[in-house]
Amino acid sequence: MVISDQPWPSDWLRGVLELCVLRALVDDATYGYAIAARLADSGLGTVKGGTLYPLLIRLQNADLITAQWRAGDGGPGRKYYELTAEGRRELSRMTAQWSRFTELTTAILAGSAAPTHAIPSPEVNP
Amino acid sequence: MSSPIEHHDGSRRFAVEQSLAPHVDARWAEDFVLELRLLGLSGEQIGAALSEVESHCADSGEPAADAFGDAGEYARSLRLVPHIDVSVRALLRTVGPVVVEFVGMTLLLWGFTAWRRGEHLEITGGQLVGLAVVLLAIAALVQWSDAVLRLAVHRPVLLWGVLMVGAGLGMAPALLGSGVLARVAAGWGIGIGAATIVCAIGWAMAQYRTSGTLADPITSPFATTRPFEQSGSPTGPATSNAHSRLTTLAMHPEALIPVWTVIMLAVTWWLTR
Repeated sequence: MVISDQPWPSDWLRGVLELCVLRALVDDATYGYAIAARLADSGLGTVKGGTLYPLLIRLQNADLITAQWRAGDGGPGRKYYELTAEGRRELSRMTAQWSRFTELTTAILAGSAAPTHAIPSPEVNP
Repeated sequence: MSSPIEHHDGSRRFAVEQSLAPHVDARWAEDFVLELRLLGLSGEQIGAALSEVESHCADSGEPAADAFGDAGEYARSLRLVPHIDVSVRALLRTVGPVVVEFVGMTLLLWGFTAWRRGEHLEITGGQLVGLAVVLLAIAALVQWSDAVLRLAVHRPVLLWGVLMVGAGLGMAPALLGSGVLARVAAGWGIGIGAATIVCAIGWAMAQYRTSGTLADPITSPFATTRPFEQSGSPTGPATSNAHSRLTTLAMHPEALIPVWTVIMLAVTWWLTR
């Protein structure tokens, strides 16, 4: 169990965590623990290091973020992560897509979603 | 920010871990470093990964096991790509001098034994098959070095058993085979064997000069921090003493085989008095 102490099902968080981490880097470059703290403060819950850092490596490998070590001023040295131009484009694209997705699921749950494609309905045996 | 963990071990076992990651439980850090080594990562990559764990634990005050879970699983979950060359060709280049030294040692010991007995050196088919089996075993150890390393770390007794059975299988043809393929003066075996060992040592030394060093110390991501050897001692000019050189020497089989040859010669001398 890597995401805990939170009201949200871990499956939901797993799907949206990448997007939230990218969003946490929009304003300035920051380090892993600060990202986790920002997400926790915003109500997402505790993101364990065992979940966060492998994700940051994946984002680095995808060229969405870059990383740089900075020596600590009287404290520990930290690895600062920063969004790349590609990371900003990806965040923008994914945010728009996520918004459409949440609107759709909200509509489905409210029972007001209109079918957009002709989806064959399953046969119901009398 | 949390305080560094105080260890009362008193030994130098965790020196690297305590120096690079004072806020991380030393045993967790040791397991983490070991798993990353087994994954073939360089000392620089390992130092960076451990430093990030240190940074997180220092800021959060959480024990590493709580924040990151099992050290081995976390190390694997990072999916870091090794920067060092772990290709079969590179491994063979590394093991080449050892293989040649081993052949030289075998020839030298056969020749020496024959000379002590006042006989000619007789090379049988069984001896050659036995030698071939041992060389194949060395090649297999190189090919599956990851599995061998894991076995050495997690199941050392099983590995010892496998090696003993392998050594027995290597010896069997030598004992069974009796057909003499070649018969030469014992001095030839001694001379060619010794020359082969000297050539292999030269080969190994040339490789060291080309690559600088075979040791891959775990280094901090900060340039100002001195690198640390696996043995735990800082590798600055001030501490690069004879002891650390001997330790480095002992880690390489190219250096051990000549020593082992001398010991075997002494034992053979004593047995053939």
